[in-house]
Amino acid sequence: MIHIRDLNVHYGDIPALQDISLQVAPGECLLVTGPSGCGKSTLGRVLGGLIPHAIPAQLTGQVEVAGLSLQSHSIPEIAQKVGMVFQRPASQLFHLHVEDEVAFGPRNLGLEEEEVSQRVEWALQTTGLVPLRQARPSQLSGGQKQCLAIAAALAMRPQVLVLDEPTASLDVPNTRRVIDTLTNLRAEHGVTIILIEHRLAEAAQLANRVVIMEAGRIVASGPPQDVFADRALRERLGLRRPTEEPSISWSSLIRRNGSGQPTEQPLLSFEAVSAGFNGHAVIHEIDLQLYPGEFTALVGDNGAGKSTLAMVAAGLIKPQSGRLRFLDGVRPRPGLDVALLFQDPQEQLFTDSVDEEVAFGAENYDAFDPDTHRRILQEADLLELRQRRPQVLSVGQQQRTALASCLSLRPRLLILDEPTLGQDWGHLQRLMDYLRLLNQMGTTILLISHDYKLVHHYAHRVILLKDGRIEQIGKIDHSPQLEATYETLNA
Amino acid sequence: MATHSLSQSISQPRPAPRLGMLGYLAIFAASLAAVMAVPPRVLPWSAGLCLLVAALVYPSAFRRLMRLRWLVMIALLALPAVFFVGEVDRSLAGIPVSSEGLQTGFQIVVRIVVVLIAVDGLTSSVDIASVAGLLEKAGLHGLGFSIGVALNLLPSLQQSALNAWRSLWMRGGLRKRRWRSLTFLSVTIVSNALSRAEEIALAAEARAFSPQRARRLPVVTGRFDPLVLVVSLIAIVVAIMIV
Repeated sequence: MIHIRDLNVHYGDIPALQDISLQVAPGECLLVTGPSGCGKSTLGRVLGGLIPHAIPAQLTGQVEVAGLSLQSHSIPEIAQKVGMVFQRPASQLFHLHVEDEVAFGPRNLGLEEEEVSQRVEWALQTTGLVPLRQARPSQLSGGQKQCLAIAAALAMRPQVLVLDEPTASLDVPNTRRVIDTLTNLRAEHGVTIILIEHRLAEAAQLANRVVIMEAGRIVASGPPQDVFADRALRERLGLRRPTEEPSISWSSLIRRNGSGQPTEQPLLSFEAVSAGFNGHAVIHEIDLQLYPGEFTALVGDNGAGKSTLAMVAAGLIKPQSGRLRFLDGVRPRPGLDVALLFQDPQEQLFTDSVDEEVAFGAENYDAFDPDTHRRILQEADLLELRQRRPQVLSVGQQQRTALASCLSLRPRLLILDEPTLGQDWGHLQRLMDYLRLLNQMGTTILLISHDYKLVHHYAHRVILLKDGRIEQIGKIDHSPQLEATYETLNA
Repeated sequence: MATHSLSQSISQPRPAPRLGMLGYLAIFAASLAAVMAVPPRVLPWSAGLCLLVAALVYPSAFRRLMRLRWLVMIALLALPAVFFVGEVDRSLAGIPVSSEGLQTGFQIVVRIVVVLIAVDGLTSSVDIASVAGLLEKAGLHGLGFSIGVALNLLPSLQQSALNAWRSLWMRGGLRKRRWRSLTFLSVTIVSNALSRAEEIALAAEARAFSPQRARRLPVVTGRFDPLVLVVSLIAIVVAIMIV
């Protein structure tokens, strides 16, 4: 189905893919993984024809999909063979109704309206979205949005589906929904699937072959169980060994005896806090205390209210009712008392250099100290990058820059909203180890995450949020039975 | 070749709605003409008729009008006329006002209410795909798509701008070097917007979109569209003739 021979792609002078040769059989599911910046997404964009037709890049070598040479055919022609699903559903849904979104592609092909309707119907049925056909895409859950993006690609009747980290921002139930949809697509309709993923536990269940990339090259290829068995390779590339999906829930991570709350004075207290946007409450009657020196995880499914709670805790949105108290009884000062690291670090960076970015807050408050500034840069491993523009850094480097800029004001509480997004395990582990160091030096950490293993490994206490309310709070269960489940965390 | 079971899932044709895009557009145009063109003596009747039609066609528009921001806007636009137009000749709850001012204020309120309900009714009833279809049929290739993208991009851009501001706020806001901070903020918002627009353009291209090629977009037509079109046209002509 896919034949790639001696493929090389350069962005200007920078090589993105080097000497890639790859064959994919019809109906196969190929998992493509590797550390951030290894060229996975570039390979996906080549298969979708976006490179070189829509994205300026120099491409050499041969790429053929379903008998179509991608260099010599236009994107509309390629789009009928290859469907693309991108990481962020929001960036690929732009219609007011689900039905219109799915019909967009077939209409672009100039098909008759009857044929368009048939394709829409089939794509909606295949992805289980028929009941939502008149819904607005903006009102769907994360998993439903991603399934809609898949349906929109399927309506083009592609023989190959390329998915670039489709589960990156999804919770476990939504991830399962997407994986189930893909499994069904492959089994019942024989669609060839190219799955680009960091979340290997879920993806490895679906794939029958895995390709690992490093610095634009393929360094390993074969059945998942064989490739991931190579411990040295995993350690070198910072890949997490995919285990059988542990059949656990967040509740099972929380120790049953006691709430796990210390007896000292809390750093931050929520007293019956309700908050939200445009008069609509997202979190309701939250009673919660965060204590100095804690490393706490805030968990729950998509839409549970985690980010809203984080915004309130950082003093960035006012509670609609209830009270928020910092140590001395007043609301926390954003940045000075509590700092929040957003999901997308790019939204948090705005100056011309890493140096200026990290110094900005301290200078603004007349608290700049060159020694402290240098130490923060050093701790965040940014000294060598201090003159670089933050916007051109890798996601991991941007995240460290945003984190260092938060730390320049020495907040007592640091909140991280899904730092796992788009990060490979190696980068993530370095970030988490740095957070642990900060925590040991006295900074209280509140980590928002969907990652069971990360939470189990790093957090002391877990707050489980459901439908805007606290469902459960308690210490992490480190019983031998649960430890065994996570024994491969650092393997 | 993928084995798509299309034939198993052919959709049943859905019945045409009572009103289509042309019908809604006609009601909108007639409502505007009925309250903006008619003289003050006819205004209560024409506005009453418009509100009656609106209550029948899109009743939820009245509920949405009851938001504080709209009520404040109506008050801000109408109240100055009550106090500053004409000679003071009467008292209302102890407040001196003019009869002429009250009349003008009333006319302003009536016109704003009808216009707001007409706009809300149109935007909540007409699908963007229909607007796009009409524009594409009119030869404006790609404009319909652009409108759809703009409408859907706005909330995302608003959120991105808000996050950029929150990030600045967490680092002291505009405490020092205000001009430079504002420049940083503006550049961040614009570059984030461009980045989102680029992502959407790529996603659209991956689904064979080309601004140069016309798409076959359906324009939703309703059963009563011709009737509504004729009645609205007559209403518009009558409103102009009264003037």
